[in-house]
Amino acid sequence: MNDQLEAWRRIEAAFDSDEEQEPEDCLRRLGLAGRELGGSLSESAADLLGQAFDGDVITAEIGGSRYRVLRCIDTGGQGDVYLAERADGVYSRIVVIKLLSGRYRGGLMREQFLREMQLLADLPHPGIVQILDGGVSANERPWLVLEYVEGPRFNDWYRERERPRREIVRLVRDLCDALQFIHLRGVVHMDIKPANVMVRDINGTVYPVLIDFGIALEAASVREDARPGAVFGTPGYAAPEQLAGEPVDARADIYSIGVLMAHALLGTGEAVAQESARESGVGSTGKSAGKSAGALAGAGLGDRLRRAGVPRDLCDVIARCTNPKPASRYSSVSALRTDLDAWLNDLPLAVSRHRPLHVAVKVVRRHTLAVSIAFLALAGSAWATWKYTADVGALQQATQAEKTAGDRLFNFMLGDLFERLTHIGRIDLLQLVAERSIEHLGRQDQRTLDDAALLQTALAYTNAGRVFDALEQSAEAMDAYGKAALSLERVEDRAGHERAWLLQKAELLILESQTLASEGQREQTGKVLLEAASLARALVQRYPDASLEPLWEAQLQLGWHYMEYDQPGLAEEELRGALEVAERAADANAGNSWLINHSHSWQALAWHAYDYGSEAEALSAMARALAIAARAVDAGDLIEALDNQRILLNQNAYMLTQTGDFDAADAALVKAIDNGRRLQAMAPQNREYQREFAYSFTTGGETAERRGDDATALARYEKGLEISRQIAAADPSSFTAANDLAVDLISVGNLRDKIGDSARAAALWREAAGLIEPVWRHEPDNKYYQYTLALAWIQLGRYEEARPVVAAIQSAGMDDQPFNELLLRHGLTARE
Amino acid sequence: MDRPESRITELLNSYPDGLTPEQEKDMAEVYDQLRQIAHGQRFRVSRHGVDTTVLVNEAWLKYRDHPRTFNDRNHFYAYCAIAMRHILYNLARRNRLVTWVDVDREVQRLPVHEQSELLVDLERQLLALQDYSPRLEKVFTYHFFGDMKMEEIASVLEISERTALRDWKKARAMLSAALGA
Repeated sequence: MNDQLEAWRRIEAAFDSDEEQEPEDCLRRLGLAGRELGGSLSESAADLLGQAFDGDVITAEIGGSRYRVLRCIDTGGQGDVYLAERADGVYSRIVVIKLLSGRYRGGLMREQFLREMQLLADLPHPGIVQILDGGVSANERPWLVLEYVEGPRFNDWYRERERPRREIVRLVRDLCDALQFIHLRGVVHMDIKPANVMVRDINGTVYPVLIDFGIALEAASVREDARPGAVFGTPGYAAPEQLAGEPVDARADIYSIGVLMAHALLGTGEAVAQESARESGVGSTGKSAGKSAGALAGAGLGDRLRRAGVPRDLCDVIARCTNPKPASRYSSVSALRTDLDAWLNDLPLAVSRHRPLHVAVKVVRRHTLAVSIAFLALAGSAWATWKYTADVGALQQATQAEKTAGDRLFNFMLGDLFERLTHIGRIDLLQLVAERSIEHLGRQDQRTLDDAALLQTALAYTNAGRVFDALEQSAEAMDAYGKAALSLERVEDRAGHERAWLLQKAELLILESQTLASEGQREQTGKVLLEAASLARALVQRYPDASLEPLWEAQLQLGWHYMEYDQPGLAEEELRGALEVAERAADANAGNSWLINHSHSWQALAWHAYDYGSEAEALSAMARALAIAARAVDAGDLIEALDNQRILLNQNAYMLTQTGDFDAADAALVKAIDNGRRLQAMAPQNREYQREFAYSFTTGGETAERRGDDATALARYEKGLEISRQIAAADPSSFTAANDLAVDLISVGNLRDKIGDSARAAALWREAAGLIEPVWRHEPDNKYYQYTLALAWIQLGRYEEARPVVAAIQSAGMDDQPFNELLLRHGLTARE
Repeated sequence: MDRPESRITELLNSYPDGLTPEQEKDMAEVYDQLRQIAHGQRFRVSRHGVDTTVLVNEAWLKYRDHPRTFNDRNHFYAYCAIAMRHILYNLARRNRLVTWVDVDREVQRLPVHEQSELLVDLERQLLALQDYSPRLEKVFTYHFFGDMKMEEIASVLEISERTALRDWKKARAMLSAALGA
């Protein structure tokens, strides 16, 4: 203190001798440290002054002293934004207060605003700015109190310095999480742009936080000068349908995300986006201007991205997001998220994936000739027969009632109708129902559901996932299964629900394994099936009257899985287990479905014996399967039993052909063809049935040919070819259908050649080669396409071109007996 | 929190030359008036901050319509400055007492919190300065908190304008040194 007095005296003396000097200079001359002290309060403590005198304006308007304004952050069209502290007692936190410009005159609007605000208040997610409070002021101005998010806005963040693409994509992926969270609750943001995303740094990792909800725009929309149906959103970022003032859904946000990601990758900002929207809108008028603006902005972006060297996969993702037609975008944010995640993990993306090898688990997978029966193709065409219109009618009625219905109805449609529609090959009818169901479920707040409702929800997600899987939409399927698992997780360990939990979880895992298997995920598939088997076993051990089906199914699938990856010992163990379960169930319950399951068990064992045991063993197992299948046909439920029997007959014929017993094979095929005719009449749109039917004819042609009956052989080949043509015509983009057709063309050509009609033979081979070559170029490593192409080229004498393909087939071990015979006939060398 | 009237009375009574009971009553009114003026839309917070001069002038214009004890505008301004100093000191002290729930170092460094620290320290040094030289303390308060011109300060303290300016420089350098020590 004495030091201070001493200093003060020196300062005073200094000014007494020179009053012109400035305080700062004086201190420096005296060698005193000084703290900067401005000339006035407004200079030195402007914020505090603001807090003292201005805070109260705001807090008075929003009714009370809970908040004290620290400073104004922004004023603008939407309203004023203040940084404030929440001041209740001695505990405090920094918040953001938004006073919106709109005014709510009517009671209804006010109600709606408060309801929406409540909805947002119920959205606790780290990626979404938290709403803490809100209301409508005495002046009828709506106000909100939001969590204060520290950090730069997204556009400032990526323009601050060049950011690695992975980091940008990771942020966008995390943003998808937040968006998915709000979409599932039925909220659409409607104004996603870089300026509405804050980047929060937590311990050196950055996370996006979504701010500024559509709710704000909604509020602004009731400004006195706003006309009804006014358009909101930011040009350049808003989807065309949004700019056109049409109703929007979650896909509008997907569009904006796409634009946002594009600009982040280009390092450009909002101004550029708006400019390109304006530019492309030039020349058009009125409503269509908005539309074309959005679309063209998207198109121009694609070029710029490619020029900037953005990886093709990311360009594809952005193109899909920013497609002007909502129906052509990702159907949900979760699907987009899955793709971004895949990109981050260097995995192939759904957006650019062709999946001809989506394999139906119940049919055989690996045999050259059998391969044609192994594919599911479910493209819809417009026929329907009188017999099954009843189902479709029920579905349509149900679709209408859906607006007011709950999970129960969805579960009826997705569960009971699924089985029936599977048989007639019209799962596509359920796509809409499944999507609606997901939407409907998303609107429910999981936290408010009781255990029974959670189980129901899980079932609904499971059923929807199964539809997506059948339609080859694996990403959507896995997403739905994931949600089902989350719902189930919340019921786990609840005493009263153990039985239901075990059953649903096991069934869910089995379905999940099928999607995983179709994606070729070996380890995951095995793991999931083992868990399913263990849960299913626990179910029947603890509840002896519970269904044996999950246990049987899990073991059977495990058997196929192990066979697929050449683990015969493990496979046999599981298949024997499945057989035992099926026998036990068939004894206890003479139900038709268990007869079919029983025959499936023998069928699987037959293939196991065929691959790893003896032919005799295989044929004897197949005979048992056929005997049981015949009982199932007699017992009723015709369509499924007939189909099962027909598949067994086809496969039996294949095995018999391979063992040289052409007479027996021929007899089996005659019966299979007969079944096929009946099935065609019952379910003309079931592509799988058509495919089986064609296979009966093709294999039947082969047996007839081997027996020396060329006339029958030709008739059967031609019939198979005719069906293959129909299938390929119905789905021109399907590689599988094209390959099957090419195989049939070659078979007919070979026989025509043999009976001396070499001109028509060559025409057929040329047609086959023309069909398969582009497919093969698209997927040059696919061994089935290689095989087909090699056959066609060799027959056409294009040996040089065929040489590398033949080598590939030989190294893959695909060179079977007919293939080697063909090589020898053409004087080419077969492998030893 | 205290009622504003009692706080302002306490503050004004701490001044050796004191106020008459009427002046005290008027000062309490001025205090309220300042706050009310601030509530008016014209003084909304903007990026440019609050203008103290306008604030005080407005208070005087309102007060003048009902002249009572402060017939001299400059004396009124001087008491406004004291009121401002008191209002802000109380707010700053409160800001320092608050326990932050969201302990975020970035947030703690907001300008308003640094300014609160400054004003709390400044108040302590102003009391020390008052012991050292009541006139220096008054000149500083009138100019710093009330935006009064040197001419106005000189008239209130009955000193020359030049002395007022020298006092202001002295006080500013002395407080700056005390705060920086």
